[in-house]
Amino acid sequence: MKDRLELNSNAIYLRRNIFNEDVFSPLDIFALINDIENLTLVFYPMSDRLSGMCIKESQSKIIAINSKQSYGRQRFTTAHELYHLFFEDNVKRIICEKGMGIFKSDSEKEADIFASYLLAPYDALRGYIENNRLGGGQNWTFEDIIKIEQFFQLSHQATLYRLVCDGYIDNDKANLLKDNVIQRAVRMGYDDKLYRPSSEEKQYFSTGEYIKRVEELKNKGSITNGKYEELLLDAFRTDIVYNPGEDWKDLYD
Amino acid sequence: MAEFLNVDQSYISKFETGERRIGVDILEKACNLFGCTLKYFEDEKVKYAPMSIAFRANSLQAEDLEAIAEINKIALNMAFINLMLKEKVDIEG
Repeated sequence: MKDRLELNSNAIYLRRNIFNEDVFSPLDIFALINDIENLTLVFYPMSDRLSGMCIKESQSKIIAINSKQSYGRQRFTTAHELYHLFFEDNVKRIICEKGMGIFKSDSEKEADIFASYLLAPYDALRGYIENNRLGGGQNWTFEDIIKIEQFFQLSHQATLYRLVCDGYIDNDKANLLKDNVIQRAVRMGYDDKLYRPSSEEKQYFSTGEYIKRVEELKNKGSITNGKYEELLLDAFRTDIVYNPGEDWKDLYD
Repeated sequence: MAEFLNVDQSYISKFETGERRIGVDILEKACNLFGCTLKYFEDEKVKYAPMSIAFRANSLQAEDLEAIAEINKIALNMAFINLMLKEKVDIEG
């Protein structure tokens, strides 16, 4: 299995070379991922056994995210799947389990560590802790943890897991910091978006290459209107097929 | 598997032993699950890359197979779209 240092380097490589981002900033992963050519992102409400899935189909890449997970966890899953697609050889289709921890395969563990470092590189987390003078981890309050996860937009579980792995806090301390996260975060003035799943109308959704190419086929007259609609509906884009009216009114502000 | 395909378990066993033939609709559903095309069943030369399930596969339930099949369907469509676009380029080019 790759060590953490190498996975951190992989994460920074992707930040710099694919996303054109520095090592310290929080990452708007869903905005940046649109820039990756040949990638389609699919949101689908899966059971809580699955976190996501990725598929390579010749040049095309597909990432599917369990939209019932919290927004923070969806960001983490996206980063996890990027590891499979960009840093592993011979990937065809991988279906990923939701849990975190020691019972996973090496490839899954690597993808989890990579995801954590992509969203919050080693030096970025360290810098944040030093700049905010948080001091030694064992003295941190619940609020300190929330500040960290809100800054990097990491799920609460992923944050605690990372802080334990990097040696800031121990497992006993982490176990004391698990309950009533939303309540505490909103009272600190944060939006609860990080901790909530996708809204109902976005639980089935897709963006990226697939949609673009279907439009291309239609514009070239290569497919019938029926096929065009079928392809869009298969990718859960009922909005394009049925509703190109009122919903698409621009604000231009 | 039987639950996902919405058939009786004995139907699958009979298909496996060759006692029964399988309907195209069921075969299509199975194709979506395994991420292959119907052509795979018709043509021995078509290769199949099995999917990698990153955990104990027996903990998957019918609804998980449903989710996997729906995502695989999108990937199969993507392959179709790429092929159509390539053919178009070949003809025009």
